[in-house]
Amino acid sequence: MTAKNVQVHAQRPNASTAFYAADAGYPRYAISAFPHAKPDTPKWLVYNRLQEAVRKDTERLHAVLWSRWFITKYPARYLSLPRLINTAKAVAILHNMAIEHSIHGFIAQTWRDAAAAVRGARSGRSRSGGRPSEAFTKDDVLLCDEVWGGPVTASTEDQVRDRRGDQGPPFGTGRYMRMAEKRAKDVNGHLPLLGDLAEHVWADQGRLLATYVRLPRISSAALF
Amino acid sequence: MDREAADEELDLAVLLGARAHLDLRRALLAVRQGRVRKRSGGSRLGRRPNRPRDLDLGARASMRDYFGVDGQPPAYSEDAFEERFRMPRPVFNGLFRAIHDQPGWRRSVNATGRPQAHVIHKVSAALRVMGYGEPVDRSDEYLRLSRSSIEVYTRRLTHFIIDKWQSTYLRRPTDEELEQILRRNVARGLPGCIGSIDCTHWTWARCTKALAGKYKDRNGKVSVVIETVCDEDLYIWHLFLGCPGVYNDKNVLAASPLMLDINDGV
Repeated sequence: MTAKNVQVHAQRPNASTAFYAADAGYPRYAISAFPHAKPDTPKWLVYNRLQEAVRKDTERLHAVLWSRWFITKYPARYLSLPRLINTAKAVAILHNMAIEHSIHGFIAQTWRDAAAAVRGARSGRSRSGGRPSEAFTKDDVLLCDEVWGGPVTASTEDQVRDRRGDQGPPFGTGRYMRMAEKRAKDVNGHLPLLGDLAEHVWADQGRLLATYVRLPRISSAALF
Repeated sequence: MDREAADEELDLAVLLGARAHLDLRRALLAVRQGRVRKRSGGSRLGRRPNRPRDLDLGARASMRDYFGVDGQPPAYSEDAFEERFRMPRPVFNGLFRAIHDQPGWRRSVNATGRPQAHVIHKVSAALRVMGYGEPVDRSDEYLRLSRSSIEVYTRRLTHFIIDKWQSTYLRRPTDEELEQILRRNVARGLPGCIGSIDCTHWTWARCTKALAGKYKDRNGKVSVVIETVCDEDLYIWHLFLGCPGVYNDKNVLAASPLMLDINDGV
């Protein structure tokens, strides 16, 4: 991942080089971006600040789940693990239904309008409705050909549906999986990712966020 | 005469068929719960008769408070509804509409000819248990449902929700949704971010002694790890739980299906 890729993200987001905002407990893979351990410059301070703002979503989620569905907060009084899992799943589904309703009702109306303006007349999300999603229909049609890389026919465009837009093994094959895993667990790609992100954040919102971070006090002893 | 006899035979056949269907369903349920259980309780000779619960009273109270009866508006406001059922009214209506005609849920008549509990009872009692985490006999006084019924319906509601909506509401994001998430995070200033990931520990109070050592986390509590990925709206895009509490974030990530998705290129 390079600075150029970050620019590409800003222009046209691409899934295969994406990452999750994680806390410092996660492994240093290329798919996790976590805060700098010792932020000593304004750049890293600003980056940490913004990263924390994004990362806290999950922590908020846990708190909201606990307060809304108290059965997940109260020490689970079930004997068997499957029942515990089922309960949490059902609660998560109900939570998602409520969230989806609130999104469609109020929160993301402006957001969907903006998306529609960007992409023409199509609406923003396709969450609504009980139809199975694309993710699952994709699994249903996962046939032998796709797993083993079937014969190359006239419909090459469907088979080589590559998300990166350049050459590589075709999507769905074992070689693709190995490549994706290698790329996701790339330890060397982690620090460049952090550096690029920090630079991007500093150039993008640095001036805005710098007022909200506490810069380290430089003592006179440190100068000498 | 022949006609009457044929009718009687037909009735008998229908009865037997219904009974076989019921037995089958019960067996399936038992298998699904992982163990074949003996049928508990029931009305048999020599057992305590059922409590004279006024089921209609409970249904009426629930209807009066939150839905309105006799053309009257409901006693409590929309806010109270959302607070107590933990979901907005349209979502509850969707749930109720989906569930009210299901075999285990629709109002039935028992062997003595008395109607059993109304659907609104069962759903709201189960939601109370899930929402408030309260003991199953807590809402007996208000909804007039027995402890065992509420427990059964809580479990059934859980299974129903998972069967019906798991493929819709707990799944990977589609390409379109992924683009949407990425676009939002670009606007937030972190391009390329597809959600935030974190783990939390869920204390498991009734863990058996045999498993307690395995499930003990670093704080000494017996717990299960939940791993979630969510976006800014707190929409859950990934949920994984069941890892024992000794696991840290790295182990859970290595064990979770999220890693498989990542390997698939998502």
